Amino acid sequence: MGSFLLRRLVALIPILIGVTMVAFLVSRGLPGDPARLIAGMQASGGEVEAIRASLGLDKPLYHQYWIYMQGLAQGDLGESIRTGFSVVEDIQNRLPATVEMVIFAIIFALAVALPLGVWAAVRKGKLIDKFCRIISTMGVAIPDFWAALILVMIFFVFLGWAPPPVGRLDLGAVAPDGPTGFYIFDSLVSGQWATFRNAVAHVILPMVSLGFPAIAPIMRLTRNATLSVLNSDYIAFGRAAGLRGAPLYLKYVLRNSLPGAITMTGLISGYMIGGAVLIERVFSWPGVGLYAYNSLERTDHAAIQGIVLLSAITYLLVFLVVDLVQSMVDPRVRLK
Amino acid sequence: MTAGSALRKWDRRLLLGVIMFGMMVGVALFAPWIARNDPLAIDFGTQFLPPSAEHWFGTGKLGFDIFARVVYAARYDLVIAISAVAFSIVVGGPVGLIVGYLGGRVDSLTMRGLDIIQAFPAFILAVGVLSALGEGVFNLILVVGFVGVPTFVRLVRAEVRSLREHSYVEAGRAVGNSRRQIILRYIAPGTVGTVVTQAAISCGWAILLTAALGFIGLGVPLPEPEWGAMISEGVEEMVIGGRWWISVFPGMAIAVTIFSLSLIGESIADLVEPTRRKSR
Amino acid sequence: MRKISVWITMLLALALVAAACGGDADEPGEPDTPATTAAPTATTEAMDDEEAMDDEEAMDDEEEMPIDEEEMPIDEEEVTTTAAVVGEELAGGAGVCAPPSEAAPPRGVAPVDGLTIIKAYSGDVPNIDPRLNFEARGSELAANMYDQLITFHLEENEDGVLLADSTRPQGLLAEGWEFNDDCTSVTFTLRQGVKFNHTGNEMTAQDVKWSFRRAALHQDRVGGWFDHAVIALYDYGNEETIDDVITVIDDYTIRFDFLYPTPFPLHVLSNAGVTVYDSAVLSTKGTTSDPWAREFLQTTDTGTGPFYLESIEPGVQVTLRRNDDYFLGPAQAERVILRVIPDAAQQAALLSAGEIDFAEAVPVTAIPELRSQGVKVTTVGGNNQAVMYMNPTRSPFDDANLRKAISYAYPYDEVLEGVYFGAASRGGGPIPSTTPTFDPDAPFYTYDLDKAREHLEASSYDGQTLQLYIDGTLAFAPELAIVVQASLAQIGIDVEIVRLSAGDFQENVFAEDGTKTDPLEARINPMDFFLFYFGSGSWVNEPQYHMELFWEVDAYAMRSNYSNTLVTEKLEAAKLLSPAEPERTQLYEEVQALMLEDAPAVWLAEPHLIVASSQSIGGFIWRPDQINRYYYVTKSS
Repeated sequence: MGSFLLRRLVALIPILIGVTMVAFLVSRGLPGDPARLIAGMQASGGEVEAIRASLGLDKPLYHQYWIYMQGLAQGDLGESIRTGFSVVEDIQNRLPATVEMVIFAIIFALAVALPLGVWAAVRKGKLIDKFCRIISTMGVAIPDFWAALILVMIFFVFLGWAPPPVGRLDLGAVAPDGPTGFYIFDSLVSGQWATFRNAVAHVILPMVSLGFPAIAPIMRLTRNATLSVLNSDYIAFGRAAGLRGAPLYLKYVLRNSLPGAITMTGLISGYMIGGAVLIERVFSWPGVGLYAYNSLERTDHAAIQGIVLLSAITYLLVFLVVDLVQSMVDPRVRLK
Repeated sequence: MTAGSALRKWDRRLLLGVIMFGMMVGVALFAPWIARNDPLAIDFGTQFLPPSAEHWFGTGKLGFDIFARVVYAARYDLVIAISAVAFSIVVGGPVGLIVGYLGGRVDSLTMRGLDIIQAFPAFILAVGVLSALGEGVFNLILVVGFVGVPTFVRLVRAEVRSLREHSYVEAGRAVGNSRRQIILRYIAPGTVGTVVTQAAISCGWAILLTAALGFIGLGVPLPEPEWGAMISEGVEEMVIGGRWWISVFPGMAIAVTIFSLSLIGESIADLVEPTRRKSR
Repeated sequence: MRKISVWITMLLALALVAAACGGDADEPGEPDTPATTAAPTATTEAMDDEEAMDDEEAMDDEEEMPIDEEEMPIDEEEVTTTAAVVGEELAGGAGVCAPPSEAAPPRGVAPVDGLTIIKAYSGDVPNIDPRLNFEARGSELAANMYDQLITFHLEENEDGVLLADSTRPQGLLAEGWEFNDDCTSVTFTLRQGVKFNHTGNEMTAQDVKWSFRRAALHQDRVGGWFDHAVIALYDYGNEETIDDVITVIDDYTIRFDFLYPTPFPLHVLSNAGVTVYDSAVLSTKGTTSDPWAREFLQTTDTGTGPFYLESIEPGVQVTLRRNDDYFLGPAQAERVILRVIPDAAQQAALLSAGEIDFAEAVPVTAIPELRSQGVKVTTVGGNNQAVMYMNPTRSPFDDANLRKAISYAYPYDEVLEGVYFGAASRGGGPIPSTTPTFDPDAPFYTYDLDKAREHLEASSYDGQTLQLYIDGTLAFAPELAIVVQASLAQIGIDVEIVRLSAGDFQENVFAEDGTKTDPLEARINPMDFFLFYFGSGSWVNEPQYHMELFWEVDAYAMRSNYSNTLVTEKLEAAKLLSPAEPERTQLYEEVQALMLEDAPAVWLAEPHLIVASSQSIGGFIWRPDQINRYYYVTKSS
């Protein structure tokens, strides 16, 4: 286990370096002169030059990259010109919101997709199977940001059931005290029930919008895995041995579809962290996605660079975790 | 259930997909005859009309006819998506063929490169690169196509690696074909099936990505119609004034198009390889 | 035009109000809030019979529009138009430098515990340091957490709106003032016993001087670049003379000496950004690399204001808490919450649901619905301008005939309803129609395609595509650009609209070649043809201030490289005259005619400021800077 982890971590290093290079190049390629933007609009040319020199922007590109990496090594991603805070601080403040939303979206997707997938497989070719197929094709076909808008229109504007799309809590509500920054968790453990209900109500629509497209792949995977288990010898044996119904399916089916589902979930959660930008915008969700959106609008170089890097590293780490879990669940992986 | 009846059922889905997609292509091709109105005609006398016999999908802020714009937008969205996927295939396919066949260092280096690119969420990467390049249809195609390249490299590479060991390839090698001939004559044709399947699915992704970029104001220049940009034009009107038609119809156009592409992709995949594993 | 002339008569000597366009006002065209950035001026609209009629006509037009159908009855009472407070004459003329001293009276409201006012912001608050602000949100926070030396008498109109009377300056941190005979020096007596929030230190003349020094000498030279120079405390580039021109006489007396008299020193000193900091705290927080405690002031406030900072959650909300010991008496509300809600449509929805009290940005098309849902929407004509620049120093726009052709090929009147849905005025020239000396009979362009074609024929335009640059995030900019494109297509000019991000756009506007010293040469704005909002002309509604800010040769905010020696001469000549003198008006009228002839820009429209608030909100304050002072806001529960 330990050596496996070590091997994976070592393999990650060149990729991480490549990722920093791409993030660096993308942000350098963006329009706008960071020195000018930092200096302020009425600064003189000389002052801009001074700032340029202090940031090392007058140096050749490889030298700039070296400076950037030195900062990175000390956990310094620069300062956002838009918020005036360091990018690390900004991201720390916003990350829990995004992670909370993503976790709920995944729980939602799994809760819908796993049972439906098994059910569709068991009733293969029947109505429910066809229904699932249509749902999953639609999940891929509908743009998530559009679905989010339609949900807001129906459940907030027309029906008034959903709370207004103003972020994680009602306006004026006080954020719960707690160690994690996940409002639902924090309010739950500290017993702040009003806040808890409020936070849950606010997370529902974003959760559905973000989770909906993820249902299709997970469901298909579960269905296929279930089918292959159902057609396998040991199920036939189980049947022969008199096992019937739920115990049979649960035991074998879930165990066999688990590795695939874990990989898929990992893939999707990595995707969601980056893909939450538009959903966060629609729901005013104060996460890193909205931060990215606002930073792009203002050409905030350091912030954009930070976000691009963060999303890539998150993705890589999620994969690492997936592999580790995989290796625990499925011994074959370790041998690979 | 016999194999024959299953096949026919897939055929039905394929047919449905092809008809739906063909319809969208037809709409794009014959837009001037279908649209009935100029998609760019400003008319201050007809702002915010709900759908009617005169304006099937209603009108927007500057009096634009939404139906005409949805129809003309099919041109942009389809051309961008199809060209982008073509770009992905033209770049990704040969790379996949070569590294898959050669293996070794070239292969592992290329794969690490792809790991790096794919570590970035497609949307964020596309936004970053497009902001750097500037808007415009050509740049949009480049960016959306670029984001799709790794998928095709991986796909073709995987296919090549399994084909490489096939007996007929061995036979080709034995009769003294050059490396190039083997790749082109024996291996490349074998990858066509999966590439076509993936192309249909990728085309759907490309439309989604294009729309998402249009939604945040990147992509097709003003005031040309594009589905994603049209959705964003109607957000305010929908949430406040209940003028839903501005955003709803372009969203439906996207959904229909991608739905048809998914049908095509899935049914071809099922035809090519009934016991396929999901390719992503 | 009739409407405009009515205003002009009514606004005889203008509601010239305070607030200057200081360092905090210098980013014309902030993305989310076109109407309130830069140097906003809410000129109060005159309301007389004719004006009321105009409003009715506007309503009629609106009713004809398809958007309201039958379910949208428009209650006329809800169409709030702020009535004018009419000033007599600007200070500065005829030996009178300013009206007699007067101190602001106590507020006299009972504080209500637990009362919270919530406003939706469209985006983050970038900076809460008053002197380092670039945009409206930061300025609003500053105006509520800090005080200035001067404020203005408030007059309540029939809607319960408190209108600032620009002719009656009142002492805020100052108690009174005394000018010398030639108006080149003013001595302020400061209020005693004013305490800074958080520390309880007493505010003295030392704090005032320290604050002005900080603005002038700050390493980024942001805070003092315009408001100090425009009242002639020093010339640009001579900031270090600040030590000589401000003299502390004792703890409660301080003197400002000017290089020459200007009409508006008290007005500029009431600018929301011209604040007084707690120097005892800040002088200990400075470091060698950050001598003026810039870092410290990014997360903290050190003002004397009616509110102080309770918390900042970046990207989510800022919470202000009432200062119970405010020297004019505590405010009614205990808390003010400024909440980030990016989408204008959501802000409007929240307003009608009663979830928030103010919205920063409300889509103009939503106004009828909002009113029918009981939201108070007030539109105020001010001197905001939407302007399309053409760089007269570079091809093809160096051809005056092309510029005139473009000026004639724009549907000035149609867009007022078609794009702005009535929430804009025509304007049409360099001086906004609500600013004194505006000439309603100036040779304005009209929508005349024949004349446009004539000028195009005579020009050297060779059919090339013109790139029109816009900030895509700016409200109305895409629509206006589309209209321009369609109109110019009619005379055979091909326009390509280039959308830039807000940051990219602004950087282009302000791009400079650092190696050049001549300001005109140094300017390298790569956009020869661009559409821009002056989120308002000026915080001081005065032609001298306006032209100095936007159209003088080295004007900070003028980026189209326009220069005409005749115009420059007349502008300089006008500076020597008191606002009361008719020759001065004459000169400004000549400038308007000359500039219209030169056509360095198309003045597209004058968008109104739209303020939307819930029904429970009572009187609030109007000042030309369009900044909300929550101290004056009341809310019924």
